[in-house]
Amino acid sequence: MTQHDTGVTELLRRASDDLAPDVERLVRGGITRGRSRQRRARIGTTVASLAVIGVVGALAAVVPQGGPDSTRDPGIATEGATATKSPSPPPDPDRPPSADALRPLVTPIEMLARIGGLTGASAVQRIKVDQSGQDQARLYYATVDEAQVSFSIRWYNNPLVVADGGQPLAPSHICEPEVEADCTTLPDGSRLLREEVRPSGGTGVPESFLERSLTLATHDGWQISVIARNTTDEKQGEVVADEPVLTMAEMQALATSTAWYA
Amino acid sequence: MPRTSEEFEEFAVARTPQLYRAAWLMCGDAHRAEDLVQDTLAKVYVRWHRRLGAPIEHPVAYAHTTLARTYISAQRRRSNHETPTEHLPEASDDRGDAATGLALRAALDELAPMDRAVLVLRYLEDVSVADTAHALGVSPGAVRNRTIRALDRLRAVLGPSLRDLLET
Repeated sequence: MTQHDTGVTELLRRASDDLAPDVERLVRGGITRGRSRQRRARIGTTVASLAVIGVVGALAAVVPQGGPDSTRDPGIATEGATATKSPSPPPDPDRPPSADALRPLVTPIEMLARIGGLTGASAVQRIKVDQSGQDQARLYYATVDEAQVSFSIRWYNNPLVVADGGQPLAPSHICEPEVEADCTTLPDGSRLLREEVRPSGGTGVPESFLERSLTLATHDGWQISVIARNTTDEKQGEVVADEPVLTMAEMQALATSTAWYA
Repeated sequence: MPRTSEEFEEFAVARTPQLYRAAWLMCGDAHRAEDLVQDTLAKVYVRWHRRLGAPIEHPVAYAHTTLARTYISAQRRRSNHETPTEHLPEASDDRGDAATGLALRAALDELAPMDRAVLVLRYLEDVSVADTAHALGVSPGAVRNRTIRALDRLRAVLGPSLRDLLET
């Protein structure tokens, strides 16, 4: 380490030497969150197992076990059997999508109108639209039952990521199911992170400011974030509801909607 | 064999001050730093108690990698839904070396989140270039470039006061 390097280390240490975190509270909070993640993971695993059993059971009930169809033309029957024996492999959430796969978006104005239509918002504001074509980011604020709902979309695997020294990103970059209970892979290979109600956080923001959020990394390269609040604004404004105004199911329906693509 | 809850608590109590220090230098905000530390501890807790799979080989390194990844991941998610707002004053009652803290804070605020994370891992945690690259999901070359860029930026912002700060 050079003298200058040592200087930087010393500077970082001195600037943070006198921090006095409440260790006991942080550890307690970490353990509580950890237990909660464990519980959700167990529930998620159980629900997933039951869903598989349900699907298998339903298929067993629907698929004919012989009968009139068994007298079909043997050639057609063979083709059908062959098709079901070689299903395409499930999409891999760890594989970065190619730029060609990216679905084009509707225009910013159309997107604004669709956000309004799907959320029933009384107003939708266009906050940011990337005109450079780099990550094609768009950000909108919708007013739903007087509270703010933020909707954003961007190309997560855009050329800037790689040009800046990053590895190409895959849908799985959003979260890891092993450690985050509400991190799931959708059947199309997209990765979904759901974060239930929590204080919005930030310096000086009251504890009564709550948010519920969801982030989707689509299989083709879009990152969609939806944040529902119980307040008129993220850091200021007033509390207008006990809970964030959209449920997780509504937010998921919004994020996974095909309305955003041309 | 998974480790016990008592062992986790012991580990967490011992590591939290250093995790918080790193988190504070990355976030520059006491509340977000606390949130980041608790999220990190929660993730380590889950991994610590997993019944299947080998126990964490190097818990300290694992915790700091988790912290850095959680920070970067949160920044990626925040990057689109946050609009610039006037900087809120940081509560300073938990920081003693006020001059150093304020000067460095201003300088760090000039850096991109990934650059801050690189500086903290490399200079505060003394993590190698290769391990920093692994933790942050970038190439070693990118870590070197970001380090140079971040240090240049610090010099530009702190100027001659950098030497003064180190001498006082």
